[in-house]
Amino acid sequence: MDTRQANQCPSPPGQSAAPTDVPAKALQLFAALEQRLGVHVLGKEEQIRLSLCCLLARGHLLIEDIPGIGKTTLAKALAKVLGLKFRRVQCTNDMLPGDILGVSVFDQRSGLFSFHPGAIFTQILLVDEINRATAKTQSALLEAMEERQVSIEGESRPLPAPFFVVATQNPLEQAGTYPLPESQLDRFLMKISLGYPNHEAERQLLVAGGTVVRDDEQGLVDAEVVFQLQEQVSQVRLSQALVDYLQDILNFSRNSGRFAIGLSPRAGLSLARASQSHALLHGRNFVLPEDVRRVLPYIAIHRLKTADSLAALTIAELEVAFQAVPVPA
Amino acid sequence: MTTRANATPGFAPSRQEAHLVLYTVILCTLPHFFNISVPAILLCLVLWAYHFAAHRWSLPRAGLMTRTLLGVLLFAAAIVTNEGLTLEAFVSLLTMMIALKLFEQRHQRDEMTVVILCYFLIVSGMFFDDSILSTAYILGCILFTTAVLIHIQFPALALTPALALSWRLTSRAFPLMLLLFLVFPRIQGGLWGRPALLESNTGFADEISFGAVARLAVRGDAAFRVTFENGFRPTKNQLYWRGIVLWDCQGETWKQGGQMRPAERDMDMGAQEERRGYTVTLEPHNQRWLFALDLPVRVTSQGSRLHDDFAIHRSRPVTSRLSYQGESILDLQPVYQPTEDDRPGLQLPRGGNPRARELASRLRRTAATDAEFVEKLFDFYRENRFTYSMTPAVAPSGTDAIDWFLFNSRSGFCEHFAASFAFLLRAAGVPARLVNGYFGGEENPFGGYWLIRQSDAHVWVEVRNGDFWQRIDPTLAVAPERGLENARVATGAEGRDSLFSQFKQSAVGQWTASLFNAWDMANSRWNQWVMEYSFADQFRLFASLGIDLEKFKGLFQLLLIAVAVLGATVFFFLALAFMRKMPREGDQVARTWRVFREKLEQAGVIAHDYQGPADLLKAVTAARPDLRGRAEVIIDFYIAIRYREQATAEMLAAFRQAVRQFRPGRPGRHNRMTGVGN
Repeated sequence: MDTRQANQCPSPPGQSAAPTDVPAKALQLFAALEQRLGVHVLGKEEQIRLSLCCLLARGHLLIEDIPGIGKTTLAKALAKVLGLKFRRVQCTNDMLPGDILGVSVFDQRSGLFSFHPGAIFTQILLVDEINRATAKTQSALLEAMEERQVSIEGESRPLPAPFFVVATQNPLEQAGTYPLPESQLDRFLMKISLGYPNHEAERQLLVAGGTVVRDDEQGLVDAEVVFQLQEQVSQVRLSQALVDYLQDILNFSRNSGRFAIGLSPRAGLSLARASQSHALLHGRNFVLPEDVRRVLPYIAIHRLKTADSLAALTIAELEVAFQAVPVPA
Repeated sequence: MTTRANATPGFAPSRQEAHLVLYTVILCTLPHFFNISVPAILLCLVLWAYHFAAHRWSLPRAGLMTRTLLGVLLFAAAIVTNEGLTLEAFVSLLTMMIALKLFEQRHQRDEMTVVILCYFLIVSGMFFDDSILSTAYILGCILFTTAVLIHIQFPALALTPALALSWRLTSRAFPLMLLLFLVFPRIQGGLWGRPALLESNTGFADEISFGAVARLAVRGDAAFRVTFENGFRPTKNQLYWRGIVLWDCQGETWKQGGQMRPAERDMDMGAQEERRGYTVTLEPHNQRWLFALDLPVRVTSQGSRLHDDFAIHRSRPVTSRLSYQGESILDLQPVYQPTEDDRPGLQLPRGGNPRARELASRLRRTAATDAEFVEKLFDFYRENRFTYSMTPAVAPSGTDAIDWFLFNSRSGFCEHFAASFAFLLRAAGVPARLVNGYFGGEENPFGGYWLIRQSDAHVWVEVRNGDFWQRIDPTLAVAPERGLENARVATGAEGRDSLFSQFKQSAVGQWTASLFNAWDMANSRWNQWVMEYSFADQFRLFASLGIDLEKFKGLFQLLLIAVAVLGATVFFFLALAFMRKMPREGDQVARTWRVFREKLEQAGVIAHDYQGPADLLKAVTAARPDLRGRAEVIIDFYIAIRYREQATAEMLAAFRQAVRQFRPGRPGRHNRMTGVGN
């Protein structure tokens, strides 16, 4: 009885194939990307996915973790697998903005100033220990991250098209550091931490003697494909219902009294973009509340502090806190 | 928006919280156990016990269908066991529905609903009992209920700080309450009144049944309290409180009957200085008459009239405490109106009680006048050693009750004496009638008022003596102590009298008596100052402050109307804004989706409302794999409509139909079901 009647109903579109409207090729691509990245960064599927999500959402990633956990490997592997140019900057407190952005040098032969681009003119930039750089350098970097161009001596120079910054900081060592102010933390789309590998992954690592990202390794895709994927992310549908949900979340962060300061409009935009990206990674061209819920803690963690003690929250605490926001029916 | 965001989803009340709510309900219901019927009490207890046990041993919860059915049944039970749509029926319905609501605790707001309903329960207690003690209890209940409400809203706050907060809140509300009490226009209880009480609070009835057991005489409850003006103190044997006059003799029972003619407007009898003014505070007795000291000449109470037999009738039953002024002349006898018809005073049933009739005519023949006949009747009672007893033997069925009383048992109380006496008078052709009222009273030295109890109920005879109705009390002829003590002592007189009187005279006894007097005084003052604070008192209050409300009456009304209009406007716009704010709340898709989630929940799928559709499908797969196929169809429809925004008219219709036809069945029984997915 039930079966027959259910069959009489018109089927919802795309019911047969769960991943809808995104070419199966893209989904395969994501699977392949994640698989290749997994070779280099063992047992960190979640973090790999979040990094990809962040990259496709045109955001920047902040990794907070102790040294030697595989931050550089992750950034390098991302660059290699995606076929992007990779540079690395190790921050110190005597570093100047010019060291990152580049300087104009007078060329005696031509009698002109010629611009020597800094490390920032790349596609994936790893900024190691960003909190060791002085405020001046930090702000120069972060401005470039937001504007996606560098202004030196009155001339604007656009940065390469996929531009993705992976900054790391060490949560333990505070001496001689310049912690990023909230306003600059806001520039990072997500903050993740890698954490120790699990037992199995660590064993594999020890047996293999570490993973090496070889320089001659060929990428699965190239910059053009990454750029197209980023374009596709912005096409992912944000329905009215989902916007309601996003607004409920933002309102909750501002009005519930649990957090010192609520999420900014920029954070809201970041959340929307990251959700779109997450949806695309799962082969959907529309966002579901689940996408929002998955990425939300990583977007909120460096932006929200508890109202009573101004302490930072953990991912688990944030997940529980935002359970107070029901999905609109 | 914030309201939605604040709702705690995925609500699973902790056991402690659930128990707190249960305690609140029990605390608020307990006083009503004096008011509602025994079956209703038992039902309540059963529901509570099951609720408690269900939490303890995880018993199965009643589903929506069971709850609905049970609700209808309980509704019927409330009405049947409380004799129709009485106030008791409403209260027992409320208590049972709250007990039932305890089973429906899926969201925090369900708990809130229960607790808020408890406030109604608390307030309805005032209908039944507004003494100091119950008011104190009610205040305690409010304190506790508020604390529980706080605790539910802010689970981080433990019960003790919640109680402290509740105390702070209520104590801050207290001045406001006082202000409102004093100045907010009083709506007098009489405006629309309250529904009738189930059982008359008094044993006082509009008929006297000869063979009936005296159930009222042992009750010590207050019937009414009287304060005399100008320091007047009547003697004990002047305290005849006139109630109704019984004319209609049907052998064993006497009923009101007779003429119900109102007295002439101006009962201009007796000198002005002989009139004694007093104020009566009558406890509700659910009858349509008032009491006044014999013989009343004027009673000032709205809707009440003095009849020509000097009974005071009221157009509506006295269902709440009533205060009225009376004026009486103590030694006056009711005038036998020249126009009065003799027949009602002589009416007797056609047959029955032959020995009594025979006795009456024999004694009448030996007496020269009616007065002498009355004397002879008194002699008959005295000489034949009639005894006073509150528990007389009842006449065997089939015998004539008056005959049996006069010649066999010769033991009874005021009803027997008065009724048989009047019967004999009428049998001999002397017009007579019965007066049902109270006799006696106890002066409260603290309060300066007289307390008349239910146990002071009394019946006496009025016989025509020339131009007057003369009061005669055959009970006193037999039991003179009835004139000095009330019936409670009379019952004690049946064997324990010495012990009782010893107790009364002992220091402890006197101390107890004065304690009782003080307590009764406190209650009386409470009634007088708090419960009966009226519109007139408000006028006086304002007058003492130099404000004449009479002058501002028009202005006041205008202000009231303005406030009402303003309030309505504000409410209208608020409602409008509220509705506009959540336009999607009410839409069809959302409603259908909620129905679907509800169905899943009943099917044993635990899904929280912070979870989206994809997570819901996972939950279905985990809890009820048999439902996966059918649920997936619905969820896909929903996603297509809500998140892909590809809704077409037929898709909406198909979605609704699919949800309507989605019948998941109970958890644990899914072996019998064959879902699409299988």
